[in-house]
Amino acid sequence: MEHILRINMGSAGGPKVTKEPLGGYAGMGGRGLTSAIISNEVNPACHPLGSENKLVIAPGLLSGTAAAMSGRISIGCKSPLTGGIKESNAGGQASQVLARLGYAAIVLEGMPGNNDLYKIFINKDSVKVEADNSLKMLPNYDLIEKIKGKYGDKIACLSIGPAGEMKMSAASIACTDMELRPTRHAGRGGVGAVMGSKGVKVIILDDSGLSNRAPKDPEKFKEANKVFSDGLKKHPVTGEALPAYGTNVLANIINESGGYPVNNFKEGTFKGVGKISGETQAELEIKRGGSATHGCHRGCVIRCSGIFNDKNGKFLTKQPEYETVWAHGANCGIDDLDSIAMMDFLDDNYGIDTIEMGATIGVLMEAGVAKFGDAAAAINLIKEVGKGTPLGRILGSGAAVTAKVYGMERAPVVKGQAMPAYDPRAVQGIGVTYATSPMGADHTSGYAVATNVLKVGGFVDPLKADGQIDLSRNLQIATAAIDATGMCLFIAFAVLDQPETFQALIDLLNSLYGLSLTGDSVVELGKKILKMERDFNKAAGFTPQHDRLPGYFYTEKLPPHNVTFNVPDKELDQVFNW
Amino acid sequence: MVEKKTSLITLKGGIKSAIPLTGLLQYGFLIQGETGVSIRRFLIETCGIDPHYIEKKITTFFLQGKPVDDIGSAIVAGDSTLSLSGSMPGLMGAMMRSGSRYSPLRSTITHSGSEPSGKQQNFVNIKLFNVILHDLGNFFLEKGINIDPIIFLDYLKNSRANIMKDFTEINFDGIPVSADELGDKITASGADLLFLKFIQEQ
Repeated sequence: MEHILRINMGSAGGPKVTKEPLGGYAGMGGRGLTSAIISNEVNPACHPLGSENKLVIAPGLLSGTAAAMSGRISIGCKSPLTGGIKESNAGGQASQVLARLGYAAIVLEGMPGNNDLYKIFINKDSVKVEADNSLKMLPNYDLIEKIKGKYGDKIACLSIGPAGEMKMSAASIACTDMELRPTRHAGRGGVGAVMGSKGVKVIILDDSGLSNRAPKDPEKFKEANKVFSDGLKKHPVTGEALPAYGTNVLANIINESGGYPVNNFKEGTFKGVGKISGETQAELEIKRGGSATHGCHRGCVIRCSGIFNDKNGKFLTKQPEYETVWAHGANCGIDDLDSIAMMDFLDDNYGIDTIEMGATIGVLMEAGVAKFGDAAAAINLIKEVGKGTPLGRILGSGAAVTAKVYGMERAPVVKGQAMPAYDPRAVQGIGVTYATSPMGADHTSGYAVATNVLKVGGFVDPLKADGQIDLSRNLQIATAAIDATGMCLFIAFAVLDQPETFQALIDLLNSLYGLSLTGDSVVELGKKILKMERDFNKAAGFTPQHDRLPGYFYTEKLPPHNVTFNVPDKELDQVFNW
Repeated sequence: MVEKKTSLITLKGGIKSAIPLTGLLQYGFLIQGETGVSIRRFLIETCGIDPHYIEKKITTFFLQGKPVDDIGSAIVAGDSTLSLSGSMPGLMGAMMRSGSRYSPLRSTITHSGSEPSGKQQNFVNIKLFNVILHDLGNFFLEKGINIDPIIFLDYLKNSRANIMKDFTEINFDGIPVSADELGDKITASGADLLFLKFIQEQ
C-alpha cells in the first residue's frame, strides 16, 4: 500500500487520475489516514456537498494480508449530517482488494461540471473513470448485478444507491461481501451523499493476478496470526456467542438492563423483544435454510453475520444486525422479524444508514404520521426515501431534520447524528461517548476495550463512581487506534481478556512493516487521530456545547429504572484532557 | 405464597424433540424454591446447576433488571426475576458482565446490595439467554418449569414451526392430547399456571 490514488472529478476536460506516493501519510491507515487527509486537506468551513470536500477511502494497516479479521475499510469526509469530520467503516471485501492493489487510499476530489454519473474501474494495470448514465438511480442490488454482468464475479464494489445520488444526509456507501452482494455499509454520517456529490456511482476493484501483501518477516507474521486467530476462537464471545447468534444476541441483554430504546427512546424495555431476539432470529434463519454463522469478508474467523431467507426459503437480506433490528424494531414498536428484514433489505438497496433511518421513522411515528408498531407503514416510508418524494427527502435527511420539520423536541441526536441502540440514561458511560465523540452519537467510537492491557491513562479503579470519563476517553483512544488497522472491532473482547492476543495484534503490525511498536505506540496513534478530529471540528465551528446530549435526556426519566443522564458538563469537557 | 391453579403438561420424545421449545425459556419461567438466599446458592441448590458451570459460563446476571456484580451477596427475593447470560459482545456486553472493570459505565443501574429477607418457599422468574439457553434449555425442561399459560400459548401461536411435532406423547393433566388440541385444553382449563415437563425417551 505504497500509493494514494487521487481522482479529481472536477478537472477541466474530465476526471483526472493521479497516483502518488504516501509521502507524509506513511504509517497511517484506515481511520488514521482518512482523518489525516481530511484534517490536512479539507477546509473545515466548506460545504460537505461542495467541491472542496473530499471522500477518502482507506483500507487498514493490516488489510490485504493473511491476517485474520483485517477486512474493514474506512471512509472519511466532512459529514453532511453532522457538519464535522466523519469516519465510517464497513466490512466486506473492498478493503482486502484495494490493499492488494497497492493503494493506501482513494481520494475523490472536486465535482463534475455536468450531470454525468461515473464508474471507476481499478485493476493492477489501470484506473478507468468512465461516464455511465445507464446506472442512474439503480438500487444497489440491481447495480451490482449489472456490474457483475460486465466485469465478472471476481470483483469487489463500493457503490451508492438512489439515496446517495440524491445526496441525502443519511446515505450510505455499500461494500460487497463474499457473495458479491451489497450488504455491508459504511452507514453513518452521509458518506454516500458525498460520493454522490462527486458524481461517482460505483468503484469496481479487481485484484486478479495479485496476491496477499508480503510481510517483512513472514515467519513472525505467520506465528502472530496463529496466536491471534487462536485467541479469537477460544474466547467465549468471539468463539461462541457471535458465531451462533450474531450481533443481535445483545437484544435480550440490553432489554433486560432497561437500556433498550423503545418507541423513540420513551422506554427502556420492549415487550416484544423475544420475537426479535438474536436467539429467535438464529433459529428462524436456520429453519429457513439460511445461516446464523457467516463471515462478511475472507479471513473473518468470528463469522457474526448470517443469511436471512424469506418464508419461501429465498434470500432476502443478510442477517440484520443488532442495531438494525433495534432501529426498525423496538424503536418503532415493531416485533416482526420478516418486516424488519425487509426494511434491512430496502435500506441496503437504496443505500441508507439503518440506524439513522430507524431513528427517523421513530421520530415520525411520535409525530403521528404513522403509528408505533405499524410495520407496513414503516416499510412504505423507506420506499418514499428510495423514490425521492418530498416526504422521502425529509426522512432521508435524518432524524434531526425530520424532527425540525414536524416541530418536535424529541430527536435523539448528537451533533445531528442519531443515537444507536443503547439509551444513555441507563448506560451513562455510553452517553459520555455519544456526547463527546467527534463523530456524533456513535456507539463504536468508544468500543475497544484494551484499557487495562495498555494501562491507558493509568489503571482505572472500576469501583470509582466517577470512572466513566476516564473509561470513555481511554476507550475512544483505543478504538481510534484499532480503526487504523483495518481490524474488525469485535476483536476487542479477546484483546481485553487475553493480553497475549493483544500482543499478537502488535506483532502482526511489527512483522508486516518491520517496526518495533509497543502498546504505548498504539495509544499515541489513537490520541493523534482523536486530536486531528477534534481540531477539525473546532475549526468547523464546534464548541463544548456540542458535546452534550439533547436536553430531555437530562430531565425525562427512562422506565423501568426511572433514570436520567446525570454526568455533569464539566466532566464531559474533561474527556479529551490527557 | 398464594396457591395457583396449576395444570400439568408432560411432553415425551427423543433428546432433540424439545430443542424447538427451548426458545420459550427466554420469556421467563417460574422455579419454586427457597428464596432469601444468594443468587449463587439459589442456582446451585434450587436450580441444580453445576457450580463450575456457573463460574465459567454464566458471566452476566440481572436481578430485577439490574446487572449483578457479586452473586454471592445479591439476594433472590420471592417473585423476583433473575436472568442469566453468557459473555456478550461489544462494550455493552463487556460492561454488563459480573464484576466487569467497565461497570462504572452502567453504575446508575447496577444492583447495589439486597435487603435482608427471611428464607421462604417462593417462585422466582428465570430467563435464559443465548449460550445459557442453548446449554440449559433441555436441562430445565426435563426438570420441569412453571409457566404462565398466556406466555406459553403466545409462544405456540407465534412460532414459525410446529414445535410440538417431534413429541411422541403429549399429556394434559394426565390425559393424552394431540398437539392441535393442546391450546384449547389450556384455555378451557382456566389454569393460572402450567407445569411443563419434558420426559426424554430412552
